[in-house]
Amino acid sequence: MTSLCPAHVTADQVREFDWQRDPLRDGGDPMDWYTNEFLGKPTFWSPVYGGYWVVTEPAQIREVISKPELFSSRNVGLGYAGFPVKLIPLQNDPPDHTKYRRLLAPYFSPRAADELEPAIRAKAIELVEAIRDKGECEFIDAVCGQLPQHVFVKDILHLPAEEIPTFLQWEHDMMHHPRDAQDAQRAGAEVIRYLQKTVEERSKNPIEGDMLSELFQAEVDGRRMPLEDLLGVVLLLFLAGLDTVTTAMAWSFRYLAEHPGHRKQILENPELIPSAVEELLRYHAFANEVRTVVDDFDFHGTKMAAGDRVLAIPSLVGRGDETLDNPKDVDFLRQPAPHPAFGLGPHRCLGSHLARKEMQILMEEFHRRIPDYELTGEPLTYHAGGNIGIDALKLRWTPTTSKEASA
Amino acid sequence: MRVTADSAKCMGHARCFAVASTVYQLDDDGYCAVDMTVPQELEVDAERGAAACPEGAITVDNGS
Repeated sequence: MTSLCPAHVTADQVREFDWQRDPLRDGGDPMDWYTNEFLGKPTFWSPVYGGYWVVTEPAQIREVISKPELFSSRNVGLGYAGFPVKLIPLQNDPPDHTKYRRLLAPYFSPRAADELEPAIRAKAIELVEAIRDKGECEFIDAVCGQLPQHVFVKDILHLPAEEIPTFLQWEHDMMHHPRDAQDAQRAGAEVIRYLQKTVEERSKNPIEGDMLSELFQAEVDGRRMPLEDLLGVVLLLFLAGLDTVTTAMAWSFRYLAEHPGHRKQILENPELIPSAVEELLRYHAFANEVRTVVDDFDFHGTKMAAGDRVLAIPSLVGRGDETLDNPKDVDFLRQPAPHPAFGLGPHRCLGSHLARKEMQILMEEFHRRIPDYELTGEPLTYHAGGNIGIDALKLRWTPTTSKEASA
Repeated sequence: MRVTADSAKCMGHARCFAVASTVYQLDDDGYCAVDMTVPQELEVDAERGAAACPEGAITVDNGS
């Protein structure tokens, strides 16, 4: 394999690593795998997928993610086919990025997330009420794979709730590459067709205050956005905003299921929930980021060449933050940590405020009704790559009488 | 104590506001452009808010 490496890569920098498969090989927690394998090790070059750098040092990971002038976002895939349209503005670098980002910002500001709170809370309560007397559930199917999806389809895109199962199927098919590459391609094409139809319909019958209706009217560089660009924006919202929140919720509830002491803290003191959400995000920063080197340069002693792909692993920043006491521990009482779970720099997750709001509300409403729960003990399986996640999370509890629990 | 947010560095994480809304106000899109002298009773909040910024966009000047 070494002979296939480009000339600027030295033999001692090469380590074969497949980001989609290797973290899963030992069957354990892939997030822990990253911490154990990479934290404290030097940057290396993996020859897999045409070759890419893996940056492992926390301060350097921060730079890769936050400096678009050095590390471009034009290609964010690694080892799988891209989508039929460019994802906007994820795959734009500044200054282009800034124009689109400005258009989208008002719909995802902290205030916009606050305004969605009643809708989020009502849905969260409905989902938890539906399972509270059952004594067990597969948490992703029943709860956290539903909540962000409902909010997105119904309250952000203003589509009928009947469409949600179709969206869930598309999301499933698109997010489970490379296992079902053909399904992913087909689902991608179907989503785009559906969104195109929706956008055309909204252009004829705009809805007051509706993001899609307004984006259709919006101008970039003095011109209406071409339909293809608008589809790229909406497809990105779909890809970035659904599975990620589900994944974050699954990691958080898995941790709480396994750590009754931490759960007790938030049961006794629900005001701790925003800090708990933050700390669990820091600890499970599962969204890996891929960049492309802009120009030949020396990155802290590593010779990088224009066009080199770079993988940055935010969980290593969260767990390797030396300014924190015991960064490998979860502590809901620690000082708020400046973690990069939502990325850094101009590409900072647009939906971060909505995601936090959804996580906080679910944590409140779930624990109000189901305070004491555990994993059923079936071995967990995971997926890795762009997002590191849990495939299924089976929880069980002793049902309490409804009135008592919600009092 | 004076706190200053560098608006070129602020990326709208809004962590300062989440941690210390008494000191850090956001614009409509969720970005912070604070530049103010902090009353003594809010100095601890101001420090916590600045430390929570993932971009290191907030400077705390203790005037010493």
